[in-house]
Formats: sequence, C-alpha cells, structure tokens
Amino acid sequence: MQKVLLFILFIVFSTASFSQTISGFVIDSINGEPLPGANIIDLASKNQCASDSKGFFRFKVHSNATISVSFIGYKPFSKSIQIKSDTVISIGLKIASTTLQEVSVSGTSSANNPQQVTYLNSTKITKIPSMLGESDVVKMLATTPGVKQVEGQQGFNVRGSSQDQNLILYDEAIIYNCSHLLGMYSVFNTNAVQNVSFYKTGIPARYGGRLASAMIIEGNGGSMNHWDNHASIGLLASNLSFSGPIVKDKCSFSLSARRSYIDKIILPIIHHYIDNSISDYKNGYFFQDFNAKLIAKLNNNNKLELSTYIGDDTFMLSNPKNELSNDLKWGNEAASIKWRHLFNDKLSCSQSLAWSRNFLEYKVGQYMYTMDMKTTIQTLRFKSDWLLLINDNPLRFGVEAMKHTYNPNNIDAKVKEISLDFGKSTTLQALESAAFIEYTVNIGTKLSIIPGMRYSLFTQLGPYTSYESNAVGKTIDSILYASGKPVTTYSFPEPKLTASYVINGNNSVKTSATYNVQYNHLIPIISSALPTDMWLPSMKGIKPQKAIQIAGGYYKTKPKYTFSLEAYYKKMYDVSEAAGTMLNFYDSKDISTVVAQGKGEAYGAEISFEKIVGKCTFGISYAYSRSFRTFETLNYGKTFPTKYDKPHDLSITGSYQISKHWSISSLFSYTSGVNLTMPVSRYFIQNNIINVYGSKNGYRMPAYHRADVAVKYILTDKSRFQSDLTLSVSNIYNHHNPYYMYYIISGSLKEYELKVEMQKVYLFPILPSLTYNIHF
Amino acid sequence: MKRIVEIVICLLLFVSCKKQEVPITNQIVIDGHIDAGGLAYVFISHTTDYESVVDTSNYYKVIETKAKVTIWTDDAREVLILSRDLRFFPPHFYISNSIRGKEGKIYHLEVIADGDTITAQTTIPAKMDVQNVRFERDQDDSTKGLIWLGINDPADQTNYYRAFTRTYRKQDQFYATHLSVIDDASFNGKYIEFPLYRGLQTNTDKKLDFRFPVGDTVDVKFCTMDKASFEFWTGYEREMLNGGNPFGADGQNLKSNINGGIGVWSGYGVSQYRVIAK
Repeated sequence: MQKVLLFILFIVFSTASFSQTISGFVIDSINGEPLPGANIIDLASKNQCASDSKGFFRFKVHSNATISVSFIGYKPFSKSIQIKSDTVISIGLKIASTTLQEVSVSGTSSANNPQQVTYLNSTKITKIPSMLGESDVVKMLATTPGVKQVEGQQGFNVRGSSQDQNLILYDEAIIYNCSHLLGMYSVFNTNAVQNVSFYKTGIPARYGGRLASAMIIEGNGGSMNHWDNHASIGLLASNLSFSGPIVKDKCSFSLSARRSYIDKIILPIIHHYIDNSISDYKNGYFFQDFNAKLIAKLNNNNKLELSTYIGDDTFMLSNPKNELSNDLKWGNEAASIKWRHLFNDKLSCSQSLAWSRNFLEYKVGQYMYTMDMKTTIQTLRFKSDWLLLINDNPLRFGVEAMKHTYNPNNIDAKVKEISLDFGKSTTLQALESAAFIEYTVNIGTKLSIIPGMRYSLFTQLGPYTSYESNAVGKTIDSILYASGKPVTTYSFPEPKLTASYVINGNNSVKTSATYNVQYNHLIPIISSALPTDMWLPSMKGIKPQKAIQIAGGYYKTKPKYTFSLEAYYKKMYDVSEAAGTMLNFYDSKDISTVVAQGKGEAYGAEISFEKIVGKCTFGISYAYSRSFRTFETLNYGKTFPTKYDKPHDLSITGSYQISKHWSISSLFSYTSGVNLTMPVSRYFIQNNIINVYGSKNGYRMPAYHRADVAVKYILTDKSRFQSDLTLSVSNIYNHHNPYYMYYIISGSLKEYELKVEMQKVYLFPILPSLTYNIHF
Repeated sequence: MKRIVEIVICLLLFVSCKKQEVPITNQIVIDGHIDAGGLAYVFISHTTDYESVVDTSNYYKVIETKAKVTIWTDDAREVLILSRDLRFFPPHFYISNSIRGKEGKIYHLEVIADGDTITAQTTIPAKMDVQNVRFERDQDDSTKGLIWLGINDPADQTNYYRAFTRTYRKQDQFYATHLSVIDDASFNGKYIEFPLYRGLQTNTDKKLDFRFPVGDTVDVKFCTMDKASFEFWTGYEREMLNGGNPFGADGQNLKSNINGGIGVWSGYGVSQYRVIAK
C-alpha cells in the first residue's frame, strides 16, 4: 500500500465491562471531517452498522474483532483488534484518488438501519456532469428515484408532493426557496456544503413541519488543521472559497462566494447575433451567494458554530414589441448559532438559534400598467436536540420553537402614474412549536424498530382582523385581535414508525409509516414557472396540511453495487392551491380566501441499481409515480393531476476513469412532460377575445429528455496544489425541451382578420461550458 | 496559479419557438344585454379552434345567424329579429322591437340554435344616481385627464357597478372603461369617488391612452347589475389583463350565467351623464 490508510487517533474511553461494544467516528484522515454513511463491519461476528450524519457508529463486536470500514471514494480500511472492554475509536480514511470538491451520492443507510436516508457529501464518488461547470446537491439528489426536478422550475418534487413540502435546513436555518436561476443551480454552493442527509420516507420525529421530505445540510466550517482553498472560473459563473484553521485544533472558518455573469458575457452576445432573428423576447439574469461559517472548539465537550448565508437572483423577461415586461428578484438570508455539548459518552445535546428570511419582488408591466408585488417570510427558530444512549440504543428527544412573520402581498399597481388601490399590505404572525422523541429498539440481531412521536402546536397571532360574512358573502362583523393575541390554534400528534429486518448480511427489507403535518403553505400566485409564490400560515380559514405515507422496500448492499426496490402510497389532506389570481387580492380583505384546500393522493414504485466501485461506475434509476389533487372549488370538483405528475422518470449516470489525468462522466435523464392548463378554444365578447381553458393541468407537455457529458483533465496533482480543466456539455444532442407554452394574437377583429399562434419557449439548448478549477 | 484558460464556445439559443396543435371545442357563446329603458341586444357566436384564423372566409361559421331568440318577462314576450350594424363586431345580432328594459324586472332569454336550447335570466337592478361627475387634469400632462364619479353607496345590500364611456363625435358606441367593474366590498354604505380610465376598444388594440384628452365631450353610462353579471365581467377583465401574458394567465374560465352555453346575459340599471373634458 502506497499510503497510510488509517490511524487510530485516540482511544478516549474504556470501562471494565464484559459486553464488547465498539463505537467511534469515521472521519476523513486529511481534514478530520465526519463521513456519514460509511459501512463498518466486524468480519469475525459479521455484525455491521453504518455511521450516522456525524460519522458516529456503535455496535457489538467479537472480542477478536476484525474491523473493516468501507466508504465510497475512500480506500477501504481493515484491521484486527483485540477488544477487552467497550472501546471508542476514530478511524481516518484516506481518499482513494485526488479529487476536487464535487457533490455525489455517497451512500445510503446500511442494511440494519431502519432509517432510509441518503447521505451526500462534498467528496467525489459517482461523478455526474455538472451543468455549466458547477456541481450541485439538488441536481445530484434528482438522480435518485422519487426526486424530480423540473427544468426551469424552483425546488424539487419528492414523491408527488409540491416543492414547498420539503423541509430544507442549512445549518438549522429554514431555507424557503432552494433554487437559483430557473432551477439550474441550487442555492447551496458545493464548497459551502459539508454534508447532506436526505429523507424522503420515514422522516424522523426530530424533523417536522413538512409533508414530503427533509434535506438537512451542514455547512462547511473548514478544517481545524489545514487549509483548503478552491477557486473555479467558468463561462457563466465563478466560485471562490477559503477555509482553514484560525487557531489550530481550536477554531476554523470557511468563506465561499459565487456569482454568475451570464448577463455580462453571454446575453450581450446572444442579443447581438441571435436575438433579433429568433425571438422578440429579451431576457437577462444573474445570481450571487455568499456563505460564511466559524467553528470554535471550546474544549473537548463544547463546540460552537456560527453560520450565515446570503444569496439572491435577478431575472428579467421583456418583449418590447408587445410592451411586456417581467422583473423578478428573489433570495434568501440566513444566520445561525449552534452549541454542541457532550455531557459524557452517553448523553449529548445541541442547542441552536437560527434566523432566515425569504423574499420575492415581482414587477410586471404591460402596456400602461405596472404592478409591483413584494412577498416575504421570515422565521426565528430555536431547537434543543438531545441524544441519550440507553443500552447502546439511541434515544433522541427535544423541543423546537419558531416565530414566523409573513408579508404575503404587498401590491403597488399603477396605470401610467395613477395608483390603483389594492388595500393595505398584510402582515401575519405565527408561533410554531413541537416536542419530539424517537427511540431505536433492536429486537435480536435482525429486527430494528424506531417508534417516534412529534407533537406540534401552531398559533396564529394578532394583530389580525377577522371578518364574518353572511350567506351572500356580505361582511357583517369584524373581530380585531390585538398584537400577540392568539387568533387560531392548531395542534396534532404526529406518530411515526420505521422498521427494518435484515434477511442476511446484505439483504434487508425496510418499511415506514408516518403522519406529518405542515402549517406553512406556499401559494402560487400565477401559473408560471417562476418563483411567484407567497407563503401563508395556517390561520382562520386555512387548515394545516396533513399526510399519511406508507412505504416499504427491499435493499441489497454489496461491496461493489447496491440495489433497491421501493414502493409508497401517500394520502394528503387540506393541501393548498391558489383559489384565484393576484388580481383577486384587492377584492378580498380576508387573505385566507386566496387559498383553496383539498385532498391529494400520490403513489409510485422506484427501482435503482448502482455500481459503486471500480474505474467504471454507473447508476440507473427509474420511478413510476402518479400525483393527483381533488378540490371542491377547482376544476369543477373533478380530480386533476398535479403540474409535476410525471409518471415516468428515468435517470442514468456513469463515469469512467480513463487514466490518471483523464476522466469522463455522463448523465441521461428522461421524464414525462409537466402538465399545464391550456386554452382549448376562444370566443369574442364585446370586441375582445376570451380564452376557453381546458381542464386543470389537462395538457401534458412533450416528454423531457437530455444528456450531459463532462470530460475532466487533471493538470496538476500535487499535495498542496491541484488543478483541472473540465469541459461539460449540457443537452448534448440539443433537444428542445419546451419550458412554457402560450399564444400570441395578431391582426384585429375590426379588420376581420385575426390570427392566434401558439408559442413554445425553450430554455436550454446545447450548453457547452469550460471550467478551470484550482484547489490549494 | 499556472494558467487560466478561457475559451468561449457559445451556441446559445436561449429562447426559440415552434407551433403545436391543440384540440377543438364548439360551444355557443351569448353576449346579450338589456339596459333599463333600452332594447335587448343578443350577439350569438361559436367558440373556435384556438389557432384558427378568423376572417371573412369563415365569418358565417363563427357567427350564428340562424337562431331563434326569445326574451320574456312577467308581462311581455318577444322573438328577437336578426339585425346588422357595422359599428359592432360581430355586426350581426338579435334585437328586440317592443320590449324595453325596466328596473326590478327579471328577463328570461331562450336561444334555439343548431338544435340546442340555451337559456339564461337576468335582473335589472335599480339605477344608482351619481352625486358628482367631474374631469380632472393629469398632473404630469395637462392635455389629458381622468373622469371622476362620486356615489353614495347604499348600506343595506351588495351593489355591483359597471361604467362605460363614449366620446361624442369620436366613438359611435359606448365602450367599457378600463377596470370597469367594481363592487362595494371596500366602501359599502359610504360616499366614494373613483376615477374612470378610458377603455380599450379591443384587446388587440394596443395604442389607446387610458386618459381622456382635454377638449373631448364624454358621455358616461354608469350601470348597476346583478351578482351573476358582476362575476362574469370581473373574470372578463382579469382575462383582458392576463390572457396574453405567458407569466400572467391563470387558466380559469369565466363564470357564465348561460345554461347550455357560455357568455353572459346582463341587465343594467342605467344612469347617463355628459362631461366636457376641460
């Protein structure tokens, strides 16, 4: 072996006991960062386990144990250890080959862990070509079955749920919109991400407030003992990050910044050469974000973390010929502080306080109208999370409290310079709190069960005026609630149960049943793909959303490959949709009337196979899934498919290490088209053309498919300096995937000649990109 | 750093367009109204395939000229006759000869066309007197301005209003103002003044100013209507604003009061005034 694979860093603790339990951490030997999802096996007893999101593991072993640790992308480690008492060790793994920061699916939970969780970290394993030279967590997640990303859309959809039903925490702060630039990039700069835990089923009781999934991101806080700096220069975006120790082994930091400059370089070229002949539309956009994190190790038992994130997007679309303009700016701001404390080897806790804000400003102009709309949500969140080991079984419990402030609709509309009255802007406030407990019970060596319970409470607070209406909709009374006074309170117990049964060492079946409640609602204001949405609380007239999900699957984990087959059924209650349109807002003093609520149903099956070791690695995943809604007040009460009801979803990834310097990776994805509500015919009323729209989401756009390829050439590979050049080509066969369809009208009724033409808007044609990366 | 390589390869076609077919439906469309003191007008047409071209070659396929149209109230009944007036589009419509609208009465409509029977009913509410009508010049451009109306809204009921204007000697018919439809939800039982914006004649016409030029003589028709008419016309105005904007369309059909077809049959209580823009 050319390099040292392991070092046992310290033996912290041992007691005189006869039960031999080994516990400890699996870490990266270079930067000391935890490796979640590593597989640890005692070859003597055949017992095994996987490291959790902190890299921690604990399991019973033979006294003459041979511990073998494997983790994708790292060189495997194996050593015989005589264990006479309970032992705590740290195992440092060495990266298999020189890699740069790229996100990859780094593993899933092992056979005997009931939790079905996907871990990602910033170390490269399975390469997927990065869109425009930037690798991305959400793009990576979208290659796993059951997770869909619609091109040009914000966020992602998990198993037939809308994108607001995903809980996204970045260093404990809630991120309300995780997308940049029409979903091309997520807001998470890969350099600023340490690791990601993603739950699409059996969400643990400690995470709540969303129906579909939980994506828990830990920011990169830098290494306590060495510098790790990275710069990339691409055609469309550049990225710079620094991280390292401030005081060795005591304090570290990380700073990352990104900005796209498509507006500075590419758009002027397009406009100069192409625009006039192709389209009347002019568009432009850019995004920027900044992450910073500081970690201070106060002593062996106390650690403090400070983290912040600021990012925003600007998007413009205009058609000077039609005097039409749309301007959008949206973004997130977040800051958090977290204190981790270790009481002893059995009890630890973390306390965190996080603040985050999401905003959207939308300006639309058409002919002589201008409308300026602003919507924001901000949340202050406190969480106290405790972990107690009882007979080696973890018991987790704690509390969570959040204060939400919403400004859903701040509208300023004008005709020329004359202001139209859209009433006062609304500010809403709410308190959300929860207590949770979950315990892992091992019955024998084969069966593990995690029962969990979350009890959540949500209170809408004043100031608020509630209006009482009579049978004909006439306001007859109003009740004024003073500031801080409770208006409405909802509370629900949310039971959860996950279980796994190990058939033999590599084969297992897992199942889960969960009940989740979501108190915040994202209401799309218009049916566009842009983030023109507003957040509203559950309040008088808007009930919390609820979901029951039952899922189960078969999993096979071999050293060289993994296989999984899963199925799920989900029933949702009081899910929300927009009842009207932006222009209805001024009619309604009561903002709750903009929300329609109904039932939802989603079901599907997912299969995936991954070859994870060797020069050539690949993965295939396919999901069949359906997602429907039934609302009394929408689509004449008839059940309709959701916009993102895309029955077929196939994704194939592959990578090949050609030589020490050259590697190639590819991605092919195919999904059914999204559903739109389209006009099916038209008529005239008083000289004007009126559309007759077909059934809601009744028109399916053509299927979406695309292939991406990336070739990487390592220029320098020294221990202190690495550099590479990556050429990636997105949509290599230049398939025109329609993003939006609409009609334009020409001619005039008065002149007895009128034409209507459907237009399809394509977003991304073949997009080559060259990125130069350095790592020092 | 050793070197930075930047090669700009750019074959970007960010937005391009192509045609696509959509299915066809065929429904009968009614655009009918009866003003207090006025005759009943009923325009009948058919919905068309979304992408079909409307011109003189297919005019008679779109416009219904072979229908039997009957209106009645508690004390009168009349079959309307087909008439033609080039001021309107479509120029063919059915008109009453003897029945004129009266406040407080319910008017029934029956249309038999292509073997289908279509029915509707509307009420003409009591008219609303306008307390104050005036022209106010624009602060930035003193050659133009808006017309302001002041009304005393009654408190005991929900009222629905719609405004039309006609510029004397320049326009040969009344056109709905821009954002012509309003209910009293935000001013029930109060005195309110609101501006009238000059209406576009059609949504394919994009050059009209929303202000009235100084020197024009403007006839204002201020109408009351029932809830069903209000709901239709509110949706209609939303469609006017958003229908053509790919980011604004909401995919909701207009709420019609026509049984067996689409469109609207509206009764209006009418107050009419003349304002000189000066």
